[in-house]
Amino acid sequence: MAPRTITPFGPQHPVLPEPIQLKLTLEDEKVVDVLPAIGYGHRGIEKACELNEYPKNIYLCERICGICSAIHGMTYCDVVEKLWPLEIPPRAKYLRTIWAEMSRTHSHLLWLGLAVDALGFESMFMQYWRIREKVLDILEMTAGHRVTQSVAVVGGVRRDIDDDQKKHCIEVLKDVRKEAEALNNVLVNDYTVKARTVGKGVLSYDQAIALGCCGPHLRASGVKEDCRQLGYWAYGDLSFEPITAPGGDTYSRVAVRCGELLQAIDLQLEAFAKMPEGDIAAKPKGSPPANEAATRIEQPRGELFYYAKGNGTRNLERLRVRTPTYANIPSLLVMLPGCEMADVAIIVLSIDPCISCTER
Amino acid sequence: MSMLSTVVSNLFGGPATLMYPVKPREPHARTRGQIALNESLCDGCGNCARRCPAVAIEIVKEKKQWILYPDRCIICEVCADACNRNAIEVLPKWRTPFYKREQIVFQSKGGKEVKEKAGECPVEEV
Amino acid sequence: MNAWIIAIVTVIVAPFIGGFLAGIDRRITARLQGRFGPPILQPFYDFFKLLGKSKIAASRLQLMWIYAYLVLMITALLFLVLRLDILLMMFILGFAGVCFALGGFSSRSPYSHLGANRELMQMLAYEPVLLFLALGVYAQNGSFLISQIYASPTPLISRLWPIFIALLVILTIKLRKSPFDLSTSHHAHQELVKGIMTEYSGPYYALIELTEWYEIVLVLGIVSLFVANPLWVGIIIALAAYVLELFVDNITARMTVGWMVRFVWSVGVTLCILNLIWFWVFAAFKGVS
Repeated sequence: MAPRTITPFGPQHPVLPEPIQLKLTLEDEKVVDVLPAIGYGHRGIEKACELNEYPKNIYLCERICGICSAIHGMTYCDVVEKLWPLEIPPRAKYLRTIWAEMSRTHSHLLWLGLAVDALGFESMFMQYWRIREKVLDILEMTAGHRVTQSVAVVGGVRRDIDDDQKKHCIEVLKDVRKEAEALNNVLVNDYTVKARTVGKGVLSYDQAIALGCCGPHLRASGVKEDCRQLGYWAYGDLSFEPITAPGGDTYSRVAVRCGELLQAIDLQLEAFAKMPEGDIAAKPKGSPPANEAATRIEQPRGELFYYAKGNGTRNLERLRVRTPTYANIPSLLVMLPGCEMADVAIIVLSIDPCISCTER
Repeated sequence: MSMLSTVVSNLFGGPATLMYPVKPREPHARTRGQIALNESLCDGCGNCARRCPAVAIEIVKEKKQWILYPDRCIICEVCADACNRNAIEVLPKWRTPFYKREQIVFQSKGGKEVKEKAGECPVEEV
Repeated sequence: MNAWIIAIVTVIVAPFIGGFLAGIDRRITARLQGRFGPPILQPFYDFFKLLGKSKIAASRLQLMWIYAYLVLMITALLFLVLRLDILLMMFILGFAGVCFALGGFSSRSPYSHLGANRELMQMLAYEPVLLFLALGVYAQNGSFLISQIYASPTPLISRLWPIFIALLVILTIKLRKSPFDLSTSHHAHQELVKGIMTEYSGPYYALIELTEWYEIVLVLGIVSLFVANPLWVGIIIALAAYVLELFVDNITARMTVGWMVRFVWSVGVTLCILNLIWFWVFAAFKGVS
């Protein structure tokens, strides 16, 4: 038996700028065992949410995650609206959908960039992030900020997209779609990328379900599950079909995200076309009643779950958040053993980990 | 290998990035850069301070001061939305980074913007 | 006396050429990626900044190895410019590489160990090709002396072009470029943090940078040997090879160590062996006729 070394992967590691530690037991360069350690990024946001008045929590929840901040804010609003329950105007539904899909677009572009960077493909990383800049730019134009959009409010959205902005957005999105499609084709057909991803970190259909995975990670194992099928917000009106890939390996995960990237842009274009006129926010009456509610929203990384309990005051009794990465970390224990040290980076990245989300 | 065509077109297409501090980027009209108070309009009602999620605004009624703690402000624009008299405006230009915690004091009745250095921001019970 | 002057000039000038080439590398790489890139003198700024940092070493032993790495690299370069024995030069170069790997092994960091392991695997890949190159030189000129290459009227590339192709593959490994930036990484993120160089910092890391500048000059010098007469053609070919490496770096992902060894042994070493066999069979027929 070769001598075993325990190599720490993280919490400070250049490939994964997230505070997760994986204690890898290596035999030469082969991983035989892995022990994840989380808890480096706990900020006590759930508790803080109980202490704030409920409208202030939107901005706190947005800071749970840097990349999908808009979706966190909207999901919080969604679950608080369910306490009354409060129906939001149709235009607000479409606007939320558009901003959520914009977040997904830039999140997937970010992930694709990071994934190829983990493979040492620096020029393609730069190329993806170059495309992502355009999406961030229209986010800034419509919402006011590149990352923390702060557009959600209990009862609807805070900002409207006027016709000029809509025209500009559609133009930019079509442009982004063209560029991203070309680059995706390069990515999925590149020999070196294929050599590094095909057959690496395989997670079968049954394992993916048994381990409770979610999001693109689950769909890459062939499971056709997506929270957007529930038809919340405007998704019920849009032609939406989850994208899956059969392989269950890292390559499939790349392919699923490439597909979802284009799909997200298509959904935005469709939503722009179908968006009705009208109010953008309904005014909530009084404090949230003593009631419980839970909601599931599809984040770029998977299913985001919020639970809220009101007690009739301006503060919430309890807010519980479950983020997709938390559900996806166990699958690492199946995918990593047996792989090479060189593949650890891309396999860990293939679940699209967001540890600051997970630990809040 | 079709990445080759991309890198070659990059080589001859020139950089896509901006030389940032030399060539600043133009912010959009809606960009939330920093907030400022129009002192002549403010009546000190305190709507902004009550709604602020980051406890970044303090109103001292006796001295007729409106104080902003810029290192706490998350520029969410809630104060501007909450203000009944449109006294708070959001400027699209970002604040430059700063080394010391400071408070920006706006004195009502035509008072000018005064910057005071505060060693430590007072920590309030949340 | 003359040799002394050449040697001193080489030791002083080579790092400037190497650093300048590294600066151009960063600039061209940036342009290939659609960025502005740092100033061309950036490697020198980095170097002097590193010299100003505090001296921290994980173990004293590793310092001995990197000093040996530097001295041996300079020695190998002197062998090239003084036109001495190419076979001995290859072995000194190999010894320099071993010193570097041992430096990686002499601290207890697992990243450093894995990086040093990979460095040894890289040597396993490129050393045979370099030795075959020396053999090819002997086969063509009947001498291992580099001065014979310069004296010979037929350039090496005319008969040793398969070895030249193999050398271009080796160049990617030696310059630590993608797809073979395995033991350490110059630009991109690396699964081993900084691999073999993880445990070096400050002035000692600057020493490694310095050694790499010598190394760039040395390997490009070896490439230029293929058209030694006239020398400027050889230099242009070497620079062209350098730019080619930058393109290769930007259109490929990093591969794994196993893939590298398989690729170099199957393509590079095969090319070399075929070249030598063809050479000797050709020579034998010539001798008979």
